[in-house]
Amino acid sequence: MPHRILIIDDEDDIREVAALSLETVAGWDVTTASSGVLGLQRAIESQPDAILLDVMMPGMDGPSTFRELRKNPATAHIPVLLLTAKVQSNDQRRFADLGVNAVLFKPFDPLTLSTQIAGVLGWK
Amino acid sequence: MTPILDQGRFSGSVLSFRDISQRSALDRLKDEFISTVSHELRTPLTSIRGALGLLSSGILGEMNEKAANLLRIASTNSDRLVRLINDILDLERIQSGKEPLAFRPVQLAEIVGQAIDGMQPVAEAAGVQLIHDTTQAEIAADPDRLLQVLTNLLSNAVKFSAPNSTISVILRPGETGVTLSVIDHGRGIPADKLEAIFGRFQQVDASDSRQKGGSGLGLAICRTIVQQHSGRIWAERNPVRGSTFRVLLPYKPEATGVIGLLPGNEPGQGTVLLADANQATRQQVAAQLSRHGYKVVEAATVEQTLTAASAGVEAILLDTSLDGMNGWEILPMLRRLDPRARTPIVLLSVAGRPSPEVLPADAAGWVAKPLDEDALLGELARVFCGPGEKARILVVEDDEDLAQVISTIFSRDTITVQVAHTLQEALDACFTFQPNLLVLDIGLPDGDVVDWLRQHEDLARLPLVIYSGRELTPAERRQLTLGPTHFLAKARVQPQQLEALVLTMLRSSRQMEEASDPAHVQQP
Repeated sequence: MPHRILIIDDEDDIREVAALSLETVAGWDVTTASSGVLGLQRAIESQPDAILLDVMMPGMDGPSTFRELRKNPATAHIPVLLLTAKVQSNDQRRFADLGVNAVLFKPFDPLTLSTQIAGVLGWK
Repeated sequence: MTPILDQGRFSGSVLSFRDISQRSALDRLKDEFISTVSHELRTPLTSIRGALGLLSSGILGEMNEKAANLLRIASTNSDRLVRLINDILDLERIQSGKEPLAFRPVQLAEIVGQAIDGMQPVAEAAGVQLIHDTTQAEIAADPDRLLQVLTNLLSNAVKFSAPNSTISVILRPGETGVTLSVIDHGRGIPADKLEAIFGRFQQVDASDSRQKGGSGLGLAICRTIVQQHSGRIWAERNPVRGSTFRVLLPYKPEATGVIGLLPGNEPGQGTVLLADANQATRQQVAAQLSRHGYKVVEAATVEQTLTAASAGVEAILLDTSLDGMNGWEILPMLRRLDPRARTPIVLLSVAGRPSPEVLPADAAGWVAKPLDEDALLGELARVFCGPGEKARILVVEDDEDLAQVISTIFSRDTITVQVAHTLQEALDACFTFQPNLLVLDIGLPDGDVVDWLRQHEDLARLPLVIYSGRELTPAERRQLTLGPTHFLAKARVQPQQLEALVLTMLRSSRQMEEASDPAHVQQP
């Protein structure tokens, strides 16, 4: 059974490219959402194996979305990886304190994104 | 400083120079700007890199050769753009001190090993062999930053080496530090470029940047890191072929003396008593002060402070909340030890700057916490210059606005500033105004002031601060050095740095005069 990933990012193009990368390179099943609120809903409905979460989003940002995901018993167990263009170390410290499973940087290499995710989560 | 920020705009702006207390607001704006720009650039680049990477890999289907080639070009260059953004951000972070180094005892051989392991895949792909010796050498350093330097040097060496060649890393411990050498047998660097390659965006020739994918910042970053370790980095041509990059790292960063504003040997600046209950603050400040030639005596309590003060020091840095006592209560106690108030006291305080009437009469100066190195040094230098003859500096600058800005920097010090706009005015002023120090813009169109100074013996020993729009070569610097001379690049100097530098040079120069004047009687 292929792994199922939910990508939450307000940028249409990034959702599309990241989804295509995970689908063609790793053969995973990908769903996407364009905001934190929609992402929360989608996560409850589809119960993905992992969530790729953008940080800078209008409305509910990445960290707030993460907190909501962890608060909700329906989604609290789903591993979350931040995918962010905020690479400075003070940002890194903030993210580490949140308690996400990993932080991946933008721009990412489309050919190895799935390997990175699998590596962090201990998937084969 | 970077292609993102045209420093010329900031240096001309009224906001950055006219009011020194606004400097930190500008710095914060600049930091936020760089952080925002970095994020903004990365976002579209993510889609570009992602799309091109997928297309170019062929995973979405075959395409004709020409199309595949174009995609390869686009993909490689978008990668290059990403590296460039990373390097610019890196250089800015390192240079601005936003990420202070974390010094630990480090076994150099381990860092070399890590760097070589990291570069192994790339080296193998290029058909190049990496070897290193096993000399043990321990120094105090920031291991992550050193790893960055080594990786960078190795990466360059591999890029410019032919297949089947070898790159060696050698460690040679010496008296004051360890010299690390990275030796390659590639095509080498022309002798006239050996210094220039460490400048930003410098590459040996234009074709390199296209073929080798470098950002042009790698060596500039290396140099900044090495300088922060009080070390030196330079390049040599090998006798037969290739280059050797050498990095000299002292065993302890403070041991080789001053870095930053005051390279070279300066006469001792005197003993400063540092009274602060917080150990971390004391360590940090003591390190900063010793780097600039000051001797530091630390005290953590009121009692220790009074004891150290009575032993005799040249200045006291006093935290205003020592031992639960208000600093202003301690002042009278210190004054009783020193009734003629010959030891200036500088208060270190988190509170807002008191207005002159509120600053206790016994305090000569004040620095805000968290402590900014430039502010601290500037204030120390200022109180040391203290009462006594007013110093005179001549500013030779044909740009009205810049001259005005420089004069304003010294307006709160006991310094008289005269400005000369032309060579003739400068020459006249040297005789009539008799300056103690010259701040000199070498871009002056109508002639060479330094040349003229050289011909007049009594003027040839004047301390000079030379100010240029571009980095000067070592040969040019030698040409321009008369007496004690320091060089500043216009785009990179902060007003407080210029103030601290000039004040410290004035003080050194006065000390040297006093030391060599037999008629001078030392105060007991």
